[in-house]
Parts: sequence; structure tokens; C-alpha cells
Amino acid sequence: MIDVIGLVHDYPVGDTAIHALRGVSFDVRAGELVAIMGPSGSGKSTLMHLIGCLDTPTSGTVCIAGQDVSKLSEKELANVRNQRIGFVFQRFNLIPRISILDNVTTPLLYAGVPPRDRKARAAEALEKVGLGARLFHRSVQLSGGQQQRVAIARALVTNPVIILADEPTGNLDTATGNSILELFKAVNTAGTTVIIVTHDAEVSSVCRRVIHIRDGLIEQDSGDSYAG
Amino acid sequence: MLVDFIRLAFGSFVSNRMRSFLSLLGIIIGVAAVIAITSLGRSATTTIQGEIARAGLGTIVIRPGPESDPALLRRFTPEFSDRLAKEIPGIAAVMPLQRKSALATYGAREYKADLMAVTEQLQSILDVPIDDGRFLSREDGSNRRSVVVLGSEVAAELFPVEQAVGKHIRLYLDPARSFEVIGVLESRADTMGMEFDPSIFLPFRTYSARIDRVRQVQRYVVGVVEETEVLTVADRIEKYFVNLSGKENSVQIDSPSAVAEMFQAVTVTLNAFLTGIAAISLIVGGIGIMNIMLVSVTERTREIGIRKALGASPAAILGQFMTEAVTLSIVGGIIGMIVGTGLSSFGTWLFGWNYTPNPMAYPISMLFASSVGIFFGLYPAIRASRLNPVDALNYE
Repeated sequence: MIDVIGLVHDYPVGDTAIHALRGVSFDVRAGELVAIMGPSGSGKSTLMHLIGCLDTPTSGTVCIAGQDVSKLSEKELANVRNQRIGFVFQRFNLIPRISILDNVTTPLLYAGVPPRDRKARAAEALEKVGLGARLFHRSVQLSGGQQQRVAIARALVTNPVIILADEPTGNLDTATGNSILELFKAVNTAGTTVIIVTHDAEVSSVCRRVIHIRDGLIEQDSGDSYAG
Repeated sequence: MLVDFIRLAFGSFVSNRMRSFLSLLGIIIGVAAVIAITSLGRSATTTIQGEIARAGLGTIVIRPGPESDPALLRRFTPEFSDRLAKEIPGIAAVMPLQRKSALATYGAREYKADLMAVTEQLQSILDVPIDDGRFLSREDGSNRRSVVVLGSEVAAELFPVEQAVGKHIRLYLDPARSFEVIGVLESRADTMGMEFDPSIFLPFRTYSARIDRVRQVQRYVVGVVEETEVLTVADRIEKYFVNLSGKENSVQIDSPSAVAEMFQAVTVTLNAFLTGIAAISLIVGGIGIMNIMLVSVTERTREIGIRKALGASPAAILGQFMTEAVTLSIVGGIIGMIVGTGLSSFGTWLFGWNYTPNPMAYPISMLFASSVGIFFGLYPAIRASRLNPVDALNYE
């Protein structure tokens, strides 16, 4: 599903460069639930951005469903993000001035889905995460857990093959965080590949496979031994 | 997609009402000024042209020109007017006109008036409405009667309370003479250098016989058969005098049509000038829109990052922000049109003009407003579309 081969990413900072990733390779098969763990500054967020087609690597390749996305144009990358990937962020990243229904229809707008279908599909996705009664609320009227549910509905509404979650429980209390993790597990059980980036051991404990990253390199990958 | 963008644009205005309105002001003022200036200009032109037409578009005045020689001037006799009428086709009537200043008195009241020696034909050449009594007749002239018709201002000055008709006034010429008032004119605008309100009209033949023997007429006033042919007839008159004297510019020929054309040329130039100034405020308005769009792009950097993460292509982001800029300027344009229409109809009402809006000003200023939106919205929109998604998402 996802093949990451020799991924290197440098950030220029002034005259020098920060080597965020220094040669990372692994693959994720369809239907896996993977945690990418590491301390802050380890390069895990950079890795997520590259897998999520939000950035392009300095060298190395990322293949999503057999397609090498390292060399795609901005427009093609936007298309991959839209069709194949669903993002969930630590800060929820909902657009505050539009209703939650409009937040969830936004990916469908860029997918070219006609307005009526968009609304129906978004309402259905919100129903699934338990927010069917709040379609016309603004995000600021919701609790953090509810906002993250909206974000998950928005990630799922295009039926992506991969969900990428960046510290999805980082801004939530434990109980709410656990209910969000349950939601990810349910999504994974339904067949969607889920990758959660976290530094929280409790989060990674629900994942069958954990990839540890430190200083831009893979320190440990439980999946390798697990896959045998 | 476009419908969604327009919906988003309005959502953005509503969440920033005050700011959006202020940035719209430039466009509103620009469009309103263009509409108001062109409409007021057109209303003024049609109103004044209407007044010229009421004065008789078919009137031509002949005066000795800069190249007149004594031989030609000797032909400028009162009787020559009949020959002109007979020999030049298209002329309905020709009247000699003589003018002199004179002090008029009634009792202790006095008024320094313009004495106009005219014939009864003045009424068929120009529209001269009578307020009281009657105008001069043919018989008044042939019998050399000492009768006068007063302009409205003369009548008001000499007869503030009494009725003027039937009274006798004195004209201090050399010597002073008594004249019977037989009519009073309504107030009327000046035409072809002739003032009506401060004038006293008397029969030409009375004037020539009793006041000042006329050997050389100051001017002829010509009425044409068809008003539409007035310029053709003016041309014929000019040729006639060229033949007569053997040179150009022997007479000067004025017609209100020529005046009307000249007036129109002046107003067209003036309007273009004022509209140009108004258009500058549209450009200033455009800069206002660019400013607000740049602020908006910076403020919504996170939103742009989110949209990009959700699959918005650079073109989609560009489209969204362009739509916002253009919608903003079109809304400003529509408000400006309403304000401009209101201003110009109020202005014409205030000045007593006929309200004649300029229909072309509407599509043109709309086009101009949306071009301003496109032009000044492009740079902020390009900036938005080029934002790096990761940087935009992490923007605080």
C-alpha cells in the first residue's frame, strides 16, 4: 500500500541544512494500523508530511498504491491528497467560519462531487462519528473531542485508502482520547489503513505495529519482526 | 465550483462586515461618481439642447462680417430682408433688427432698457409667449404707431402693481417720446444674443421714422421652413453673400444648431474629463481591494493549508480568492450604481433638469469594476495558491 524507500529530507536553515530524515525505508500493507513514534524533532512529522504528499522529499521515493508520488506536480499531489488520503491533525484544523457540514463537504468540493451528493455524504459521515444532530454548528461551538470527530468524518468522507493522523489525541483528555482511538480502530477494522504519528506510548499500545524514529532514522520497527 | 466559491466569498464578507464595507467604499464611490457624472452631464446637455430647441432651432442671424466692405454694407437695408426671403430657398421669413439703449420711465420709476426695433414676424421666427395684451402687428408698423411691447423684467420694474397694458411710458431718446404699452411678454431665455426680459419691443418702421432713420441694418433674423434644414439654409445664405461681395467672411452667420453642436462638443469633452477623474477613484478602490485581499490571505493562511491538505489544487485556491476579489468589486459596483443613480436623479431634480441617464455608463462601469477586481485580486490570489501546504498548516 505504502512503500517508503531511502527517504531523505533536508530543511535549509540559514546557510546550513537540518537533516530531518536521513534515509528511511519501510512499507505498510493495506489494512494495517501503524504507530510512528518518536520524540519531538525526530522527524516523524516530516515523514507524515511526505507520506501525505504535503511536501516532496529531497531524495528517495514514496509510493502510494503503486504510484511514485515523489515526482508529481502540485496539481497531481493535490489530487492524491484528495482521493487517497485522509488527514487528522492534533489541532483539528477545522475552518471556523463555516458550518461543520461545510467543513466535511470541503474535500468533496475539490473532488468535483455535485452539491447535493456532497451534503448527503457529509451528513452520513458525521452521523457515523455521532454528530448527526449538529450539522449546522460552527466548530467553535463544539468540544475538542467533537471537533476531532468532525475532522475524522472529514477525513473519511472521500473513502480514502489511508488515514494519516498527527497526534490526534494530543489536545484531548484521556477519556476523550480513548474514544477517538476506538474510532480509529473501528475505521481500521472496516479496512482502511491507519497511520498514527504520536509520542504517546498509550496511543501506540493500541497499534499492532509501532515504528520508532529517532534523529531521522528508524530505530525500531515492530512490524518487521511481526510480519516475519 | 464557482457557485461554491461565490458562497464562500459572501460568507467571508459577512464575517468581516465592517472591513469589507470599508474596502468596498472606493469601488462604490468610483462607480457612483462615473454614473452620476455621465448622467448629470447628459441631463444638462439634453436640458440645454431642449431650451435651444424651444428658442427655435430654425433661426439664423446674419450680421456684417469682419470682411464687410462699404459696398456690401450699403445693401444692408430694411428692404433687403424681403429680397433675401425671396431669393434664397428654404427661408420662411426675414426680419431686420435694430437695437439701442434707452431710459424708460413711468411716473417716478425708471428702467434702462434695450430698445428692439422688430417686425411682427418675430413671433413666427421665434417663440415669443405673450403674458398680457398682444404682440406688435403689421399695421402697427405700416401706420408707424407709437406702441411698445415690454419684456417681463421691464414691466415688473415700471409697473410693480398696476397693469402695464394701456399705460403710456416715456422713452428718453432724443427727444423724449411717449409710447403706449400694448403687451407684456412672459419671461423667456435669451436666444442668439437677443435678451427678452430687459427689452422693449417697438415696430421697426416706427423706430426708423420717429427715432433713428435706419440706413444700415444691424442684423437680420431669419426663420427657415424646415428646422432640420437650418444648416443647409445657413450654407446657402453664406454662398449668396460670397457671390454678392466676391469674398468669404463678408457676413457672419449664427444659428442655434451650430451653437447646439458646439455646446455638445464642449460637454462631451468635459464629461470625458470628469469621467476620467472618477475612473481614478476606481483604481484607488482597486488598491483597497488588493489590500484587503492581502490581509485576508495572510489571515487565512491556516485555512489555505487545510484546504490544500484536503485536496485543493493551486488553481482551486486561486479561483476561490479571485472569486472573492471579483465578487467584492461587483457588489461594490452594484451599490455604486444604485448610489450614482440616486445622486444623479436627485441632482437633476435639484437643478431642474430633465433626468436623462446614460445607459452605456452602467455596463461600462460594471465591466471596469470587475476588471479592477480581477487585476487587483490576481496578486493576492497567486500568493495564496503558491503557499506551501506544510508551512501554511503550521502558520500561527
